[in-house]
Amino acid sequence: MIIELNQNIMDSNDSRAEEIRGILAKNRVVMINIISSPGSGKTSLLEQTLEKLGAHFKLGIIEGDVNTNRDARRLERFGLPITAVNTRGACHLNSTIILKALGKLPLDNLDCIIIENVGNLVCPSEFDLGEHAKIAVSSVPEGDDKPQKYPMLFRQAKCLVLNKIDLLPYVPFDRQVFYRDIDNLNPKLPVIETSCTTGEGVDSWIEWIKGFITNQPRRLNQIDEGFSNFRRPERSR
Amino acid sequence: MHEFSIAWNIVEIITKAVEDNRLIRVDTITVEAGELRQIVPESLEMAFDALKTEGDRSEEIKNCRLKLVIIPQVVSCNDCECEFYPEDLCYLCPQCGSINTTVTEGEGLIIKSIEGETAE
Ligand SMILES: Nc1nc2c(ncn2[C@@H]2O[C@H](COP(=O)(O)OP(=O)(O)OP(=O)(O)O)[C@@H](O)[C@H]2O)c(=O)[nH]1
Ligand SMILES: [Mg+2]
Ligand SMILES: [Zn+2]
Repeated sequence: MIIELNQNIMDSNDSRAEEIRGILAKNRVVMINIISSPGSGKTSLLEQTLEKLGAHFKLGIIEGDVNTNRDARRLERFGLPITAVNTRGACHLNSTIILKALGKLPLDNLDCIIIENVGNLVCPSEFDLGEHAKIAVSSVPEGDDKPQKYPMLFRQAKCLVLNKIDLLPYVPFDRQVFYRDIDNLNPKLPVIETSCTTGEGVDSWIEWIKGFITNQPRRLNQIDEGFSNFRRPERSR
Repeated sequence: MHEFSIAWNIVEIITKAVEDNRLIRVDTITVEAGELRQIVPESLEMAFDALKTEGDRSEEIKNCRLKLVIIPQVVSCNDCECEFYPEDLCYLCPQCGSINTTVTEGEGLIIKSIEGETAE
């Protein structure tokens, strides 16, 4: 006999993502999920972001890594709540991992949680983490063909950061091809060019993310002068 | 390798379906995957075959074959209502040029059906 099931294979992940959305809404927290290939600059962008956005919002970080906690250690100097999670070899974070990580963050005291996903352009886009936005990071030395080769992520992203533009003079990267493909794939996608090395363009990214957090339908626990738990970012240099 | 997680979920779902429907044997399951999900058929098959025969899995599913059907994309224009296939990954409406388009098919990932033998 044939039994018609018509069941969504991602049900177990998606239902936990729904639970996460409930928790975030209750605590009025915005959650952002940064996705890119290995080495495009997710952690570098986070370093820039924590430094510049930390003065405006109370931030928490979920640092996804396959096996180590090296990236989490790079961010420790900011003195912000950070939870490192290992996927133990898997190439993506899922909603079970995030649900657990949320339990370790002071949710009632946060405005925004930023997730650094595991470096991969295919798998992370399959998994709904209950986030408000997926952010794609692509970088110049990876080449201009990434949107064509990995369309799902570029379709889903709410913002695309094109990083390492300081390398444009040295590597073949056809901006026209890149933008033409993006405009065909996802014409409403904002693209922000940055260099985390020189700092160029980072302010535009900060403006975008500020606007995004502020425009979410929620009341923000904006930092005021009297807020005592908040530690200013410590500079290592 | 998101195919591994997907195969894991499939095995969980059919294991439950075996109990719910009191099947004594599952022969075939049909999975429909949207073209956009970027599933590599060989990887899914390999992961499924490895997981379905894992130690504590029920005997009923150990000879089950996975049939994967890739569903091509269908995009519809919210302005002129025409339907089209996104040739060269272009999601702009080929008729009116609108950027207001919605993918209506080719994004899903479902177990369509399960074929097997019941007790009586
Ligand atoms: N030239 C240049 N190098 C950069 C830039 N941003 C990051 N890098 C370098 O690129 C390398 C990878 O950066 P990360 O920030 O660790 O990249 P990631 O995406 O977090 O990497 P994974 O977590 O391993 O996936 C480091 O050596 C950075 O210094 C940039 O804008 N320009
Ligand atoms: Mg990193
Ligand atoms: Zn149209």
